[in-house]
Amino acid sequence: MELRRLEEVLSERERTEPGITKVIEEKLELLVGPAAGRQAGQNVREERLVYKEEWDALIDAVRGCAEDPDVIREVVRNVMSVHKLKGPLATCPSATVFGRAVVETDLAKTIHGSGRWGTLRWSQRTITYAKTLDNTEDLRMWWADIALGVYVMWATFNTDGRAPFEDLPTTADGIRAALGLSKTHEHEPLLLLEYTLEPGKAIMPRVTEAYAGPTWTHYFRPAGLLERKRGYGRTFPWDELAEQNGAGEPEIVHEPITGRCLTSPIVEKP
Amino acid sequence: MTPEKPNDSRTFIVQQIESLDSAALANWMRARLHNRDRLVVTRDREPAYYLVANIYGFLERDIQADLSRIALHMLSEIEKRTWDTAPAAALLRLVDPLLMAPHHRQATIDVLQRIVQSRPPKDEIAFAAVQGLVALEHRATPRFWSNLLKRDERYAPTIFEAMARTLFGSLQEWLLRTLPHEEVEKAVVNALPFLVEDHGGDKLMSLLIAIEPHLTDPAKEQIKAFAAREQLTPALPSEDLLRGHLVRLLRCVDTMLWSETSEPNDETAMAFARYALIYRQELRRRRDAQSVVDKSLTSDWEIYVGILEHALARGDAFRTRAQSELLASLLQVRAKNVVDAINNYVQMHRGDTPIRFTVELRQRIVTALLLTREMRDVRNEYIRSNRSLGPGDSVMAILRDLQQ
Repeated sequence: MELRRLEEVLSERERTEPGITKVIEEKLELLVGPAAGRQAGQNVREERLVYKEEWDALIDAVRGCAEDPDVIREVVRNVMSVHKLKGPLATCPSATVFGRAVVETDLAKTIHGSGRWGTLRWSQRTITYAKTLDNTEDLRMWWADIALGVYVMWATFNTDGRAPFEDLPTTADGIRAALGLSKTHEHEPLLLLEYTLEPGKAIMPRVTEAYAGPTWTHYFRPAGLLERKRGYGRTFPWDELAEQNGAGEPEIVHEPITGRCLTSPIVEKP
Repeated sequence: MTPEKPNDSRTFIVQQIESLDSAALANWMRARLHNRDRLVVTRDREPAYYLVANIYGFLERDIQADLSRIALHMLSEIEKRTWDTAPAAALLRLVDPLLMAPHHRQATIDVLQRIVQSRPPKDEIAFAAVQGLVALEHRATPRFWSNLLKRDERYAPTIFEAMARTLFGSLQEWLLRTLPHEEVEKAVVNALPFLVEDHGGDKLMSLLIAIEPHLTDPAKEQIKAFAAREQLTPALPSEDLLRGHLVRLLRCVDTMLWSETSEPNDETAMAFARYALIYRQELRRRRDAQSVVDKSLTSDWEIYVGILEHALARGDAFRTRAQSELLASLLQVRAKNVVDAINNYVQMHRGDTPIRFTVELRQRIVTALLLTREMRDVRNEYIRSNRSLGPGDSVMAILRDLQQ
């Protein structure tokens, strides 16, 4: 299978399907309206890590759909969700410890949404208890079936083999800014989760993962030449941090995991 | 091309939402849940409904009330099947915090029940609606929860939570009927910290003692680790609790006999009921006389066994019923649990008192309750082993030994 850009695939299909490029471009242009849609359209055009078959599926689906931004978004989401996490493997040493920073209330919603408990309150209590476990084996055993993410999980790591958060700022907001996380929870503590993945499970982030879920994040950019050479993506830090760390932190995507993969006790960073 | 700037600071979002009138608020909510929100742009990669829950507590009361009314109205739309699965499930998972106010409770429960009843249980909307019922502490019957579990085991943790929060008194019975069940077992293990917090270590240990024979080895190991980590000391059931077990056991057998009897004047059932009545009267008489704890327990048990033996002596009818799967399980499992509990009680309260009492009783149970020879041998082996149990011994150690 070949990695291609959208325009390359469109140009090939133009020979047998005259006008297809115009149709697709016009549909993508309609995405400008919805939040993060404009960025999405731009990212789709710039992405180089999508296979020809995946572009073909997207083209076929978008071509036939109604000229309604919401419908186009839904169609893009459906195609992306079929092909998510099928991109090139990320380049990280096998023993790499990955890190995910998450707000406690959001993790509770993830646990609740996964059906672990009937209420958000009990999901929250699950976390409250887990935070008291300072023995990793206890935590792994206790959380063996607790989902730590939905759809696609995004994770950072340290390229020098250190712990994933070791070289990051020491405050929750500092980490938030470096990883480009939402400001909705600014000033709230972050839970730092550290875990390993089986070989072959860390994937290069692509538009496919960025637009496979219900929420299209504004803060995603396709891997450039440098990222492709290194074999991992980069986070999109907050503007306030761009001068110091415009390049962002290493970033990969992977299937949602459970607490069975954790390698350290949960750290709560104020 | 200039991309939109995220405006996801909470204060800004709250101000935006508070500036909307009711109609605009409803439109925003609908768009948000359908992932079409063009008002609030965030960096989130989490499901869109998280944001609604995250800001709800920061909104002015009027706006909160508006959102609650809108949510309740939208639930009725879901009932009419005008919503897709994902946004509908998202709204249902917003019952907490949006619809927790007492004045919305009953209306919300009513619509959630209708949603649950009108959809197949594997449906995500039905599942999220059940979660909503649990959030509202709806007190359904154990049968309601059991029926859901039979149809989809994904409900196990949700149902376990519902039982533990609203029907804790029936939880043990429900577990004894439901276990072994992999998902329910996981729920039990994961809920241990909350059960201790909500009901205390004593009640939890009593529950664990009762269900222990139905748990898998890995679950027992996890429970043991939990008990050790939390320094939970052995908590033995009180005399009253044990006597309560006996009374309930009798009542169960009594009910079972009647429910399995097709003839209105079945001799065995009537005889058993008579003996059960005598037993209860005897209990009352001795309670009034305030007799010695251990002695009364011992004689309680003997009376119980005597009743069964008498009933068994009535002929093949009872024996046949006793061998039916349900009744046999009731007699064996429940009786074993009660005997184990009494045995623990006697050992812990009387120190080195010889436990010949238990050997004799167990042998009689083997005869009376049709237990297999293998089980009897295992039991006797346990009784013969020379163990010393002190207050510092973990209940789980006792449980493990009993289970072997």
